[in-house]
Amino acid sequence: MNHVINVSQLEKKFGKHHALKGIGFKLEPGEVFGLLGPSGSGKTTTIRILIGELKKSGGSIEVLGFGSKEFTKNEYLTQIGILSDRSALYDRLTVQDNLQLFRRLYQVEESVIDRVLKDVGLYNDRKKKVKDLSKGMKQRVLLCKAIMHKPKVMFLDEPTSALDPATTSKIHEILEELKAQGTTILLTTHDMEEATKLCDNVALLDDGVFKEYGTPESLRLKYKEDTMHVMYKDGKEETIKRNVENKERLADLMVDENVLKISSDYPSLGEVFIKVTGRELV
Amino acid sequence: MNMNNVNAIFQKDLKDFMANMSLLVLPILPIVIAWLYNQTVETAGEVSMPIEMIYTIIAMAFAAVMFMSIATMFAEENEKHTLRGLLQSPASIIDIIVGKVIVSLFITLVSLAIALFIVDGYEILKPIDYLGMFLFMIIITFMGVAVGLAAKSVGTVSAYSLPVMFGLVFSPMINNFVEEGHVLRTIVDYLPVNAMVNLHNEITWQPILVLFGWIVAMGILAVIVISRAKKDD
Ligand SMILES: Nc1ncnc2c1ncn2[C@@H]1O[C@H](COP(=O)(O)OP(=O)(O)OP(=O)(O)O)[C@@H](O)[C@H]1O
Ligand SMILES: [Mg+2]
Repeated sequence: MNHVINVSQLEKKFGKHHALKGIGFKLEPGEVFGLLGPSGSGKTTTIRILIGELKKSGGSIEVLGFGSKEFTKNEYLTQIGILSDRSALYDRLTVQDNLQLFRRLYQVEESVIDRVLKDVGLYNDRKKKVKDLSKGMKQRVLLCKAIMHKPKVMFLDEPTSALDPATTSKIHEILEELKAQGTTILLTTHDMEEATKLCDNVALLDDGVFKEYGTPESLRLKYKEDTMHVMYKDGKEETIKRNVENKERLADLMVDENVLKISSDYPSLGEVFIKVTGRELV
Repeated sequence: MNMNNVNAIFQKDLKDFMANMSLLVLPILPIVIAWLYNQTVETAGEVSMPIEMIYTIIAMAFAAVMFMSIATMFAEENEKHTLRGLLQSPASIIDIIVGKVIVSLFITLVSLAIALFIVDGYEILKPIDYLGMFLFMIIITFMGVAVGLAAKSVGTVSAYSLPVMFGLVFSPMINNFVEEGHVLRTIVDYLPVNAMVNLHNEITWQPILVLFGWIVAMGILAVIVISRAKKDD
């Protein structure tokens, strides 16, 4: 199958600082790929290279058949959608007038504005000036701007960071819809639940290298430990290794009335991350 | 250049200009100055206004209105990080420049037309003056684009505005204070507004060359700044 995004041995140096040390990944059409990693690991840098804002220092990249030298061309830019914390709107203009500008530039029909505004739940706020919007509302307008021209590939840098749960789930809903329509999505996030929910594949980026790469489930399975977690009614907890020696002990616990819960230690993606990188996210 | 994109930028910037109080006061300045000058001349009982005064009004329109609005519009796009969004859309830097220049030219010409009407400027100005103004407009366009794109914030543009005002707007007045043959007069002859006044007084090549010299210098400056803005690492 032809890959929409094909990155190999990508490197980026800022002076002496080696921000990306040879990462590689491939995205199939309609795939959602999550770049996870602590602050400063190189997530934004990766996206900025893919959208033509930064030049790579080494390796090869191809998106939609375009080489990195063509990333500033209109033929490329009209096929991608970008949402990052560097995206901005015109404060003094209304929501509608902001979108009107980009509608004209991308030459899409007038009706698209109303449709995307309804999709993100901002149709009734379309006459409001951007400076009077909340952070979550602004982010949804930016998402409208990013999807209005029906891009084939979307680059989203922390699309839901520091947003309220309602806005976050609205954005998730839209991303899932885009995925269903076949849009290929590359996103970065600090939110492991988000990654588990949305992503087909994730990479754990740490200090410019991929520590892990795979489906969220496969990573959780890989790092699961052969232990059982026991919670007692008095609040005590215990971890017991699952082996033949503990067979009777575990069987007894099953019928012990002091036990509240027995569960296998199946790590969340966040716990996997801590195991892999030895540190907390964020 | 793509007319569809220029039109989109023009419409956006015109709306934004109309909603921006700090830009909206600019076109009032030349009109107020024209009115004040007119009062002074009438009180003094003079028949017509000295050409130097007419030219401070013209210079005021181009420097305070056109230069300031072009430069402020670009500096704000830089400051608020909206320029990047435009450059990542189908709009090119040339589309963006042309759209903005049309907005500020339109507002400048309205303001200048009213100001000249107040001081009966149309009776004093000759066809050659309009050629001078056309060349001056090109100088101001390049200057506004260069300063605005290079400035990271609107505050920086305000800092530039003072020397621009003194260098351009009030330079013809120097002739009233300094006697003929003084070095200062020779120096100010190389400033664009003085060149325009000289062109009015006597049609020679010298002031035209001065104006073209400024066009070339500011054009080179603008091209350098524009090519840097396109890369932006
Ligand atoms: N323009 C730049 N010049 C110099 N160094 C940079 C530049 N951009 C990023 N860096 C450095 O590269 C490294 C990776 O930064 P990047 O912004 O990609 O991290 P990130 O993973 O997006 O972090 P966060 O989660 O905080 O957004 C950091 O050490 C950062 O300081
Ligand atoms: Mg980042």
